[in-house]
Amino acid sequence: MEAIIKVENLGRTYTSGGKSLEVLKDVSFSVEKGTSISIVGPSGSGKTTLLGLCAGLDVASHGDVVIAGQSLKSLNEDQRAALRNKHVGFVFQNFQLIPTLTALENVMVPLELNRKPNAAKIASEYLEKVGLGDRQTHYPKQLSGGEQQRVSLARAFANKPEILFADEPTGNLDDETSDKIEALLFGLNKEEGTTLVLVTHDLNLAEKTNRIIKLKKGEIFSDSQVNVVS
Amino acid sequence: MNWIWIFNMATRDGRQSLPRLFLFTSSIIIGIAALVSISSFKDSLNEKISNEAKELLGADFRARKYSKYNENDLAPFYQLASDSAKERSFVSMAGFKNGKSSRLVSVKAIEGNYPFYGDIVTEPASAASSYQKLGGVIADQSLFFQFGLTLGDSIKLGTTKFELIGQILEVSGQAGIGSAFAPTVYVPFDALEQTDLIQPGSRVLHITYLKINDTEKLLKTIENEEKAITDLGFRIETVADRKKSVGKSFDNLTSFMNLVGFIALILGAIGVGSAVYTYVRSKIKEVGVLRSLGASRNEVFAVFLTQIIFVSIIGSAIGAFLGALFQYFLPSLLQDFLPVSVDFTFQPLAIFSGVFIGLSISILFALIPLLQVRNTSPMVTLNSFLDDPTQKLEKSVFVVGLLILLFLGGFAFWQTKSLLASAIFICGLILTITLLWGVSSGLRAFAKNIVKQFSSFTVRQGIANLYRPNNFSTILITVTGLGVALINMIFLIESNILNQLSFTQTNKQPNTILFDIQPDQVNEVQSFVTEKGFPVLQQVPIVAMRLHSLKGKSGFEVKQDSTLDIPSHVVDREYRVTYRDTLISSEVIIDGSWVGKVSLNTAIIPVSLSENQAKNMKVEIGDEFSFNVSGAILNCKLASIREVDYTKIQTNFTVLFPKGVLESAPQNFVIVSRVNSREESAAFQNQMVNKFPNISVIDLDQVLKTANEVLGKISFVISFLAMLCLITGFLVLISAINNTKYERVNEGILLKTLGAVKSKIIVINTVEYFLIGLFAVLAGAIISVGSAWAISVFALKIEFTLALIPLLSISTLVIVMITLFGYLNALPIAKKPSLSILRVS
Repeated sequence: MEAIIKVENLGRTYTSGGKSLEVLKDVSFSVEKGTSISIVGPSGSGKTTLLGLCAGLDVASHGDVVIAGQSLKSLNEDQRAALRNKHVGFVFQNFQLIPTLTALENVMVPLELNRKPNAAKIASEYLEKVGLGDRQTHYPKQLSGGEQQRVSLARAFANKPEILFADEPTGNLDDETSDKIEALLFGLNKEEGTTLVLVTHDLNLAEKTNRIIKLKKGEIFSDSQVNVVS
Repeated sequence: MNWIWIFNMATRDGRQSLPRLFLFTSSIIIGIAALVSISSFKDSLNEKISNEAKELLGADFRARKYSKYNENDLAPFYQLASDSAKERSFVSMAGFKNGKSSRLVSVKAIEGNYPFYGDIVTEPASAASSYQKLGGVIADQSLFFQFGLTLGDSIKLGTTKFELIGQILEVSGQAGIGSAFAPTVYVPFDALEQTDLIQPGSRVLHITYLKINDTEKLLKTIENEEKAITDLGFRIETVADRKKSVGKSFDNLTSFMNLVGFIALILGAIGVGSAVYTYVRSKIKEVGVLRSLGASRNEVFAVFLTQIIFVSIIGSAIGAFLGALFQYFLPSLLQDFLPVSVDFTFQPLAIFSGVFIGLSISILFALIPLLQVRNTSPMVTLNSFLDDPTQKLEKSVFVVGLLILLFLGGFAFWQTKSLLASAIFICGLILTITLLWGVSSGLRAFAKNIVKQFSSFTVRQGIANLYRPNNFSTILITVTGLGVALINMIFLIESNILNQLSFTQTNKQPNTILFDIQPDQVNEVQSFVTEKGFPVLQQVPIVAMRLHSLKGKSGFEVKQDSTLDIPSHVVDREYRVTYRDTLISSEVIIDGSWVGKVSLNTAIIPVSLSENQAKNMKVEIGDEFSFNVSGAILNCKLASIREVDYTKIQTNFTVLFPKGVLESAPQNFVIVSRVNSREESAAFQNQMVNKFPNISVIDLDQVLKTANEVLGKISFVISFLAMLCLITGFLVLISAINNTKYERVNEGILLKTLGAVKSKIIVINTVEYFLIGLFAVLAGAIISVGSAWAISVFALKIEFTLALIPLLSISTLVIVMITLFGYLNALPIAKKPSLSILRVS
């Protein structure tokens, strides 16, 4: 199968107070199109850093990431942003909805950035899909945590990204709500045929993906396939 | 760039942020209002001056001279005239209430229908045209108020009593303040002789007014005749000259006012900059999300810039609207200084330029923090512990800084038309703001060091609030401090000038000057003064003369040659010169050597000039020039330059001749004395008027009183403008309070959760704002005392004393107001239940 993400000898070192801290060390792997993968590991193992680098949010100290055939190393900040808009969707642990926009407007942001016609109609359809058809004009502060994450899912999928990065998508939710969000996440992923890269410390959630990469101290500790029962 | 998305995003995001954003720009409203109102007023005034230019002069042509002249000298101009009038003008003592009261007045006698344009407005209205025929006088309204006069009362001028038949309310083309020191009395021309006031050597201004309809011919005649009549000692003026000189002086006034208004705008813009900084910090996560979703750095920057431009336009429009309204009040604020009445008019250019300047300065100052948006990494969405991007300096900030400097410099140059003046303004402003910033930072550091000394929890918290992150204390102290500094400085300078005058009243210095004493009256007056028990401190001969030539060029040539850069008044003015063989206590020779005596037939007379006069004439020791004394030309050379202390109340002279040459020239005398009290002074003046009606008395007590009134009016205008800076400071304060509201709410909850009662939260906030007020006042006071000292000592050359009463009253008022803001701000935080606050936050 075709690899949609290729990570080659990726490393990231932060400098703070004159001291260097190597958070990620020579990590290499690839993700095939349409599959789902979890990155797990204890706090400080480099999960979020790896996600940021894979999504082009951050710049690697060494190594490279290739997304949809495009090497991130050769792109500047704004070119990476354009690439994200075209190929990537995000779901964040703390939802990261823009508080001053309504649910509908939040979902419209990536569509309008991508100059898609009928942005409002598409956004509305996705809000219907996540069960928030009647809450479109509500502001984030008028929604519960689970509802906010559903808006976040609608925003992530509305632009039809090839890859979806999810950072602890249920980390801030109770068990019951988490289950509903997980169901929506995997359901939409399957429906849209998106490649899913999930960062989590929740092994139950990780086991719902095709593959689990375990990180420890910035290195890949294990990389295993999971037999998913769908 | 996806402009549609940028616009949509700016609008959608702005819906919620708009009230908060609008408060940012409220700080510039006052500055823009000031600029618009002053510029509108300036344009209205210029329009009025243009429309009523002829009324400023009252005629088409005016020729004047401080001595009698033959009207034939002006024959070429008379040939063009359709009407003519003559005026005699001089100062004299006037007696009121049957000799019980007296004061110095300006006497004017007019023959003919002057003014040809405009009116002398009197009460009753007919008095202006009938006083000549009826043989009565009309006098300034201020005299009626001062002495409780009514129509029908008499006024004694010289040896003659006149009936007061009208009070002057207004004279076209003349500012009310012009007659503050000597109110005007118009007497019938034919009755002037009988007063015996005009004696040989009296300083009488002789004026000829002509009505000439053919301006072209008039200008041609001036071109042909100017040299001849200038050489005869005339000063001539046309409507265009008058318009130019009046326009220039008001240009200077409005430029000065505009610069003060501009300071208020800059303070507001600094407020906008600091508020945008907080706004940007609060938007960091949002910026990160937008960047994650694929927006470019410039697109995100453009979203927030669009919002700032939008609210700046709203702020500017409100400022322009208020400015147009303020314009309605400005004429009344300045009415005593205006030669024409200025009506409220709509000035689109002034409004447009005010909005443009306000908008530009607001955006430029907002750009500095706004550019930091470009530094924001999308990683902030994943890692909340990432570095604060607003702490990193974007390189383009330096370009914006340079643009701000160019903009400020450009504005100052536009107003002053002088590179040096605009450089001084900009450097002074930057220095003052830097000093205030430094003082406020120092005070904050001081607070940090002493905080542990206080045992009270609330006081410690209040002090700690001054230096914690995201606080506005430095900006608040700087902005309100500058307002306090300006107002205090104005009051301090005013009180020092008045102190200087009062000082002469209490320190055995001369305080009474008798002038226009004829040579045959000198001994009699001297005896009279001594008989009354007052000393004759100085007795000085005065000889009137005009500059005839300077370094080989005639007076006319000097005036015409602009490359010489010699002010025209050097040639035009009449010099009142004395001669003596010794220097007096107010004089010190700083160059050359003093020659006190020469023989009558000295070919080139060695004279001494004051430092300023030598500077104005551009002469050095040894340079030659000549004076015309009643037709006789005296060739002179500069023998010495004196530094003269004009603050000492004695007869000081710019030109000083040695003894030996002027003794036989037409002259009169001045006697300087000292009376001990106001009562003695009033009685002495009345006796002088009765015994020597032609001699005038300058009573320093009266001068002090008038100076007090005039300075009061000037300082009121300047204080009003300085007040704008203070109001701007308060707007920044309100904006800052609003900006930090959510943080304050959270802190309030935390303190309440930890057991703090409502009153403690109120006290903490109140203490913090009290300290901000105190520090603003301290910073402002330090700057104001320093600048008032420098201006008093170096520019005005007067002794500096610290006037504590105005300083303390203004300071207390500002502290009370800022503390009140803090108290009112704390009330809703303290009153809200913790749970509801938690939900809001």
